Amino acid sequence: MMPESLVGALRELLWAADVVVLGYFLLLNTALLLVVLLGGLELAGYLRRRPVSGVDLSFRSPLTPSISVIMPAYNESAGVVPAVQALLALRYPAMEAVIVDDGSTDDTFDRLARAFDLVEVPWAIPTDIDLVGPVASVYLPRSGTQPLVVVRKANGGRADAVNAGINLARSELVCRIDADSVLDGEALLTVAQPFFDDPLRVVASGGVVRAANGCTIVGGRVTDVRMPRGWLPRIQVVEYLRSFLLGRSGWSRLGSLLIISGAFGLFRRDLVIEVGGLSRDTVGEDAELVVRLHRYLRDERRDYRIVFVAEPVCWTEVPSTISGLGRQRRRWHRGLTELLFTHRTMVGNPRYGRVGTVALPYFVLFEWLAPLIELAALVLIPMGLLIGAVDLDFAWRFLLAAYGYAVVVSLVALALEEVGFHRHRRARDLLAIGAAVVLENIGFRQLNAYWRLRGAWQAIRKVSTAGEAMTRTGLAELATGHRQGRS
Amino acid sequence: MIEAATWFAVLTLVVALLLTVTIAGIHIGRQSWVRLRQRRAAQPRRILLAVAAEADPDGIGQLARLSAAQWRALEPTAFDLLGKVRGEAYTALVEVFRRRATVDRARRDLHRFGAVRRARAVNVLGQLGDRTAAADLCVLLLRDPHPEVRVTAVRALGQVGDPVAAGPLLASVGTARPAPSLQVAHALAQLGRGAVPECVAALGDDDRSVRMTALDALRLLGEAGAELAVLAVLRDDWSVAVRVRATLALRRIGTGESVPVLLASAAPGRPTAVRAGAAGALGELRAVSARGVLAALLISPEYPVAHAAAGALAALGPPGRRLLALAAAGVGQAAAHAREALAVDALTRRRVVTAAAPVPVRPGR
Repeated sequence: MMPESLVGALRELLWAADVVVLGYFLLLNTALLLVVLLGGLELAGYLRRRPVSGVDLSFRSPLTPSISVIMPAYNESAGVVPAVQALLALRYPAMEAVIVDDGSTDDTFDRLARAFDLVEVPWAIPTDIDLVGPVASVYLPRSGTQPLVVVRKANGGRADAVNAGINLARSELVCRIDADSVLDGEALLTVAQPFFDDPLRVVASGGVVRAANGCTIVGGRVTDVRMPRGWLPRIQVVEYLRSFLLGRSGWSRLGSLLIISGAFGLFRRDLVIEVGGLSRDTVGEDAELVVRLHRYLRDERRDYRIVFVAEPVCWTEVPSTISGLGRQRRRWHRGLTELLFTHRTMVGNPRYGRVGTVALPYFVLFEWLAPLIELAALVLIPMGLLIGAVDLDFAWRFLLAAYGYAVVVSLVALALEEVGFHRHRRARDLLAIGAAVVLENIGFRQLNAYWRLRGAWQAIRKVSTAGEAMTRTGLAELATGHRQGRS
Repeated sequence: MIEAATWFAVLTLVVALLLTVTIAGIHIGRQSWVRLRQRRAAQPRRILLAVAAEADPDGIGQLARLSAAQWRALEPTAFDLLGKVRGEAYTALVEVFRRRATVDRARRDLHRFGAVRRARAVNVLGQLGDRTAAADLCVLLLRDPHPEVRVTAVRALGQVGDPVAAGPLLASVGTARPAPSLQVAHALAQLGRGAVPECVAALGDDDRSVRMTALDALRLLGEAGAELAVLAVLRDDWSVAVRVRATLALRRIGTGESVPVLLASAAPGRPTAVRAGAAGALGELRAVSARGVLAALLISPEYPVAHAAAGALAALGPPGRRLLALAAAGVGQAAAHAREALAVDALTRRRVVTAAAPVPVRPGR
């Protein structure tokens, strides 16, 4: 039996801990709300400018900067040919597609070779960025009418494959896209527009990533946006809306965008080479490149901009199984941990402007630390109830307030999206999103926190994640399944 | 604490409910508005398409007499169509906008408070090709505090096409808040040969962005008369970026007179980008006399230089290909560049031959 004084002390401690947790939740959601509202302002500005953006002029101008679209592919035989065909049909005046087969063990390359009648071409391989898996051979279409280059190399991982593509790219700008992603037809034009408008300063731009699950895809284009059937992908639609669309717009408005999604980002090739290409030492190589660019350019005292463009959409398959989602979220948080550790001297450092004093501290406090605090709350509050440190009345009100605030933030994001882009045209899809906004807080957040914590632990212990690939249905099959299932 | 938590919980619930109702209202309201606009625009849209197809004067009159609500519903379609038509169809649509007083409203809006409103007005005047607005647009270009207005003014001046805008366009690149140089160059090209004197004069400007823009514009214009001025830039300019642009311009406007300066620019000791640009230009100009120098560049340790030289040799035709074949038989990077250039050239020539081949006639026809 514990002494009364010890029990009393424990009660006080738990009470204090619960107050801290409550305060943290309020702070976290307030910070997120601010970022979302800033994102709303950025969105409003973008929509006002859209009628006068001159995108058609960029399509007609011979001075429009050329783009090499790099697609790393590893065992993507399910959808690589339609993906490349869709890529080649993008509306952009000067582009080439560079497909890098990173040592696939299936028939990814054979399918490409048959579909595009590829012939091997002896190639003088540039070595601007060092590679782990060397380039074995380079292929062009025999007809020579398509701007396509296919590279075969020894397996070296996704970052290595992209670096190989950057080496072989012949354009001023390089865009990386995943093999399982689908771009809107004018996505390249729109994401490249900042380079056309501000060629001296813009060094990178990113577009939006949205969930393709449930959408109708015809000819490599999303023709009808629909909510997916399962609640797991539905909740991710909400997440992507809040974080990828509004969140990144907000950071872009502050000039502190830290993440350009690996699924869809456009960079100046010369600068990517200057900073050494994508890092192979992290699983979050996409975000790490952006932070490294910030660091390098600020150290060099160059005037630059890294921007987010809210309209060009990259549609991608989000995990529809618990295990797949868990792998993804562990990897993301591991990547964040590695990034923050690698660039820890930037955190709170005024030398790096708002990136150092606002964005990075935000990511440490409200992204990296969040899963730990959330899981702690799940333990501390029941403990507090058990020993009478916390009143039941207070506990349920606190939970309602904390999760209710999170629901409010997501609804603000949904309202802004509905005003701005209104991609979901059906009332039942909006209802589904509304339900997902609430359901996200019942089980999903808690599981997500657990996975993210595991990801951080993996980063700290430097556990290998080799072999953790998402099982892909393939976007063509996603669309077919949708059409069969719906009336 | 309990009371605070209670109030906060109630507040979040109320806000959540309000947001839900707002979202539903926006969704339903927009669907209704879109349907209403489509209904309003349905009949006038047919008239609009007829005007665009046949420049029908009756149709122009009918569109001019539409109610304000119908015209508001139709106007976005009319503007979209304006960007897609030429000749009589374009003139007919411009007449419709003129009779709807669109130009007058846009001219007034040029001086309004809101930047977006000014930008939209500029955009309208550009699309309608209103030459009388050129002077106003030039002022906005150089003095408007808002970057979007200035960028839109650049595009509009190009669409309007009055050469009087050439000077202000070039000047806008060299200000403290510069206009985007690529867009300015494109606009200058749209002004036609009337912009050439200003562009040539700008080759001597102190600001390198102005010089680069002028070079881009001369390239787009294909102005052969500027060749000597551009050669002087390639020879004497201090900026590497400007000299690279000069090599790009010479690809389009250069003649045999450019070869000696290009050869000198490709020589060792010059900046890599200039050497590569000069080599590329020699290939584009089919300077067979330069094949010896280009072959020597194949062994350059600078990848862009060797690569450009290999491509240039392939472009020279049989004399260049013979030298590439000799290099390809060797070892090292020079051989690699040569083999690549020959392979790509073979594919290109095969494509040209296939495209020119006569269409086979099916038996029995």
